[in-house]
Amino acid sequence: MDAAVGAAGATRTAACSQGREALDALAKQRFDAVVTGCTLEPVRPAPNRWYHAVMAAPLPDGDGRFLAELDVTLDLPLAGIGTRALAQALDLLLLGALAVVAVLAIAQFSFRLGSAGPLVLLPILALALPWAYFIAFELALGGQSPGKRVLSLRVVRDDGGEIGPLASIVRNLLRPIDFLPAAYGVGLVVMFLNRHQKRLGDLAAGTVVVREARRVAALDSHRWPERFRPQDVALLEGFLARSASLLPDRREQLASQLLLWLRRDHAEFVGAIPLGETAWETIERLFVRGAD
Amino acid sequence: MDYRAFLERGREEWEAAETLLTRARRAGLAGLHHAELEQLAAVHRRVVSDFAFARTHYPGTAAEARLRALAFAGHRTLGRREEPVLPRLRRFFFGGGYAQAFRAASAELGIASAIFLGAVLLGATITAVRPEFAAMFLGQETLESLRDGEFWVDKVFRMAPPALLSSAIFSNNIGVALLAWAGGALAGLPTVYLLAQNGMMLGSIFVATAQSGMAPRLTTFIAAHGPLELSLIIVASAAGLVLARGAIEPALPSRAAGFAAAGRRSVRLMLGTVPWFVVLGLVEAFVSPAVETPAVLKTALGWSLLGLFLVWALERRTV
Repeated sequence: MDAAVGAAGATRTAACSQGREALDALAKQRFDAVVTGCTLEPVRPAPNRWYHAVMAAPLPDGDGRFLAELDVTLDLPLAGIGTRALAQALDLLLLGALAVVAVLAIAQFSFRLGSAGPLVLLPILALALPWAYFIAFELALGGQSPGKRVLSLRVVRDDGGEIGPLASIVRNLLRPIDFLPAAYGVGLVVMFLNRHQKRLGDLAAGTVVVREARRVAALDSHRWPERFRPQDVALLEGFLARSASLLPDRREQLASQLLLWLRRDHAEFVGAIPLGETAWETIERLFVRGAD
Repeated sequence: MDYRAFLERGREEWEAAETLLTRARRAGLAGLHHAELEQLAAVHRRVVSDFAFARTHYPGTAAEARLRALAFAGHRTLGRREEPVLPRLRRFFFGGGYAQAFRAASAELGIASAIFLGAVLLGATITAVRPEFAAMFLGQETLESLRDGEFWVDKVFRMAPPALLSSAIFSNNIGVALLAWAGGALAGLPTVYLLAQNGMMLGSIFVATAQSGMAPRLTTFIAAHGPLELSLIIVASAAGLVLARGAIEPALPSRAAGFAAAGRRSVRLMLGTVPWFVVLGLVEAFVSPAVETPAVLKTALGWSLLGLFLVWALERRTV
C-alpha cells in the first residue's frame, strides 16, 4: 500500500512534516493558503483584489412590468496592473498594425486617383484612430478590446453592467491624460491610490476593469468523502483541471502529496477502494467518474 | 447542503441559462421570443440566488466560479440599455439635449470666459509694454519678418493645399478641445493653463501685428473663423472645469460617484462642439486665406457662425 505514497516518507510523522511543506507550497500557488498543524487552511484572497458590485438591474417580467434584480453582491476579481499593461501592449501592437495598413491604403488610393485628395484623411486618422479603436471594440465586444479579450479582462460599469457609449467615450478620451507624462504615469499613480485599481478614465466614466476566471469543471464523482470542506473540493478541482497539462512525473508528485493528505484525513474513504499502481491512478479512481 | 446535491439540483437551470445567454449575446435581447425572455429572467434570478448560496457555502469551488460567471453574464445582458444610439444622438443634437448640458454649465462657462479674456488682456498689455514678448508665441524669425511687412499666415498657406490644411486644422482644434476637457481630470490645471496660454497668445499677437501695422490683415484673416473657434475652445475648457469640479467637490453618495457623474455631464458638453469644429476646419482652410473675399463678408460669416452656435446651444424647449 505504501508503494502508492512512494518516496513521500515511511513514518506518519515524517510523512506529515514532509507532506506539510509540500502541501504548503502547493497551497500557496493555488490558493494563497496557509497550512496550520498538518491540515490545509485556505484563506480567501485579500479583499482589495475583489470588486463588489451590487446587481440592481431591472429585469423584464412576464406582464411587461419590470422587477428589480435580487440585491445580490457580485464579487469580481479585479484586473491587476500587470495584466492590464500586457493587454495594453497587445492593443498598441494591433493599433500600430492597423495604422500602417490604413496609411498604406490611403496612399495607394491616392496613387490610383493620381491626386493628393485622399491624403486629407491622414491628419483625421492620426487623431481619431486610437480613440476609435478602443471605443469601437469596447462597444462591439461588450467591454473588451482585443488585448483585453486575449487576457480575459473586461471593462464594466460600476454596478457590474455592460459599458455604454458615453462611459466608453469618457474613459477612452481621458487616456492621453492617464498616459502623461509617459507610459501611463498618471494612470499608474491613480491606480495605486484607489482600492479598485481604476485609472482616471475609469473614475470619470464610472467603470472598472475585472478579470474573468477560466472555467473549471466541478468535481463530478459518485464517491464522496465525509466532512469534505469547500476548500478541499476546490483543491481537488484545481488539481484535476491542471492534471492534463502537467508532465506525468510532476503530476505524480502532486498526486502523492494529495493522497498523503487524503489517507490521513479521510482514511476510510481512501481505504474503500483498492489503491492504484500510482498515486495519480488512485486519485483518478477516487474522483474521476468512470475511471475505475 | 451537500456539494454534489447542490450541483445536481441546479444543473438543468444553469445549462438553460447558459444556452439562453449565448443566444441573447448572438441575437440581442430583441432577438429572443417573449417566452424565452421570460425564461431567461426566471433562470437568471435562480442563478443569482444559487450564486449567493455557493459564495457562502462553497467558496473557491468550480461551482462558485461557474455561477459567478453566469450571474455576471446574465447581469450584463439583462441590464443592457437597448435604446439604439441614433435616437439618442438625434435627441442630443436636435432635441435640446445639448442646450440642457450647456445651461447646466453656465457657471463654468462664465469662469472659462473670464480666464480667457483676462489672459487676452494680460498678453496684450505685456506686449504693448515689451514688444519682444510676442516672440514667445511667434518665434524671433516670424516676429522680424512681420516687422518687414510679411504676414506669416501667407507662408503656411503657400506650403500645403487647402484641403489638407483644413483637415489638419480640424484635427488640431479637436485635439486642443479634447485636451482642455480631459485636463479637468487633473483638477483642471491643464485646462486653465491651455486657456490662459491661448488667451495670452491671442492678445500678444494682436498687439504685435498692430505694432507692425499689419492688424487689418490679421483681423480679416481671423474674421471668418475666429469668433466661433475661440468660443468653442472656451466651451471645451468649461467642460474641463465641470470635470475638475467633480474631481474636487465632495458629493453624495461619494466623491467618486460625483466625479463619474461630472464625467458624463462634461463629455456631453464637449462632444457637442465636434461638428462645429468640422465646419470651422472648412472655413479656416477655404474662406479665411482667400484674399479676394471682402472683409465684410468674412466678418458676417464669422459672427453668423457664432450666432448659429449660440442659438443652438441656448435653445429653450419644453420637454
